[in-house]
Amino acid sequence: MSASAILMMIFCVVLIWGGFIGAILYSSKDQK
Amino acid sequence: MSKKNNSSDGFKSRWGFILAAMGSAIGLGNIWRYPVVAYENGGGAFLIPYIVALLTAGIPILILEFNLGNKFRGSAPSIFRKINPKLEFLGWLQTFIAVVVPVFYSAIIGWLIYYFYKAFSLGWGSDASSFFYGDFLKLSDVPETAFALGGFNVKIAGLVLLVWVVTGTILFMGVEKGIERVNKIMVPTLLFMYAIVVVYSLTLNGAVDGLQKFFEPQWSMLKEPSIWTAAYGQVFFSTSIAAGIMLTYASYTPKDSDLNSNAVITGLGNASVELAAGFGVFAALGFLAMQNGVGIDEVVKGGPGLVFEIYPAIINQLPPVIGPIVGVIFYLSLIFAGISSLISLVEVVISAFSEKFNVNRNVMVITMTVVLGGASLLIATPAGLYVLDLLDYFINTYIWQTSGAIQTLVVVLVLVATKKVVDVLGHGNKSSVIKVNPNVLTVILLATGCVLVFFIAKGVISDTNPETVYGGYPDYMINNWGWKVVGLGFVFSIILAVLPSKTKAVEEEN
Repeated sequence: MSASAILMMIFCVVLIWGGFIGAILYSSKDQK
Repeated sequence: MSKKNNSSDGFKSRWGFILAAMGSAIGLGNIWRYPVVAYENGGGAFLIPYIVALLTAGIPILILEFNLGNKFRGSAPSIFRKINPKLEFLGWLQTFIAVVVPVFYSAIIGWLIYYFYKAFSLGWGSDASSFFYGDFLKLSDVPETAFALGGFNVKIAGLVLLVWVVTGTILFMGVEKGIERVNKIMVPTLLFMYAIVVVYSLTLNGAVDGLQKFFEPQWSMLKEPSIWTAAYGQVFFSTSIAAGIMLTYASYTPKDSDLNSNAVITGLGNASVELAAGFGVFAALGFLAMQNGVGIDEVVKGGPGLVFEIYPAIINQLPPVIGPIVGVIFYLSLIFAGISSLISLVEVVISAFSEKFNVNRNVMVITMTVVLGGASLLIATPAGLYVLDLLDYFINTYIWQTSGAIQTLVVVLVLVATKKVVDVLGHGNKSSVIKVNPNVLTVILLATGCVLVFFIAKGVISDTNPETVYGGYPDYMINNWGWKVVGLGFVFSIILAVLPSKTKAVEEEN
């Protein structure tokens, strides 16, 4: 794979999957 | 409260609600639409407008709908009526979407059940395209008159009725025992099963070539307006917004729910599955291209073609034993994705009619299952695929986007005019970990509404030009299954909004 494709893949994974997991963890604090 | 006529129960846990909302958003479009839309619109570069659209349209509209549903509590028409009686029509327009889409969506789930069964023995044979259009659908030519659809395909009719029996049974059990419980099982199961398919696809020969095609950014395409249109369109349709679904589901949540965080999780969860689908589909397409010694461009196909032609061809070329296992898991995960979306749509209809006419929920579940199930048989005909295609396109382009535009422009402007922005859009801040600024959200929603108006205008210009009319269908098909259905949607909405409500509670609150 080209470097630009790899970078784009990492960018998407971090932003979308990371954002999803981050939102779950962040919002789970103080949940009733 | 009007809620009492709608349903006496509701979501009992936070994750029950999130999984139901995600189950609604995660549908067939995530798997068969997103990867190909991304590929055709700049590959990796598409992810930039897609993320912008997610942050400026998908998640903000989810926050709006979760707040409206939780604050005003009721069916989609009654929620808008409580904001302003003249807006009830918008709720019925959204209900109309939830009436028409299940008619063809249930048929596709019926097809998936058949392919799930066939996957055990790879029963589609070596020519998957001929099997799908010929042996299975028995697809005729475009009919000579709009309603000459041919006789019923008994096999497909049976499968469609099976889908409606399952859907009706889940809805009959109620929100907590039906929708919540089923989604708590189905959504994690479908995610797990689909993850198996994706991970396995990544191990195939040629997978890297497929991923290269999918992620290679064509930066020059960012200057094209079409890539931005495609990104907003994808986010809009795949997030189950502006169809009354999230309003209805949110009305079943406890008052102190973490609405804003739930909206962010639902939006990003749906996007995560789309990204996973991009990995899985293009890894598998890379494999198929390598096996056949052709370029990936020659095997890329979206929509039903991907699921019912390309995937069977891919599964055929996997090692013995592995092929059927992957096929069974793949089709079962799609069936779950479809059912969880279908029940959310039908719930909108049940909620709206039972509240308006003060009819017992269970009576309405049975009525709607019979009526919508009966209408679905239209698709179980030799020309059903054409009807499905036209209904899908015209409902999406005109009714759904109009609903989104009114919801983000008119409803938000009414909130501004009546000085209710902070009260309504800031409603979730009281109990949410993630806080939103109601004024910033207002600006974002209004801007999104303008984008949607642009899409609708673009569609009208294209579809009224005989050279660019959708699908190249004859006029009588476009008029009867396209424009007349759109017109019917507006007439349906106005009539139901004008009819007096039989629910005392709704009258009292207005």
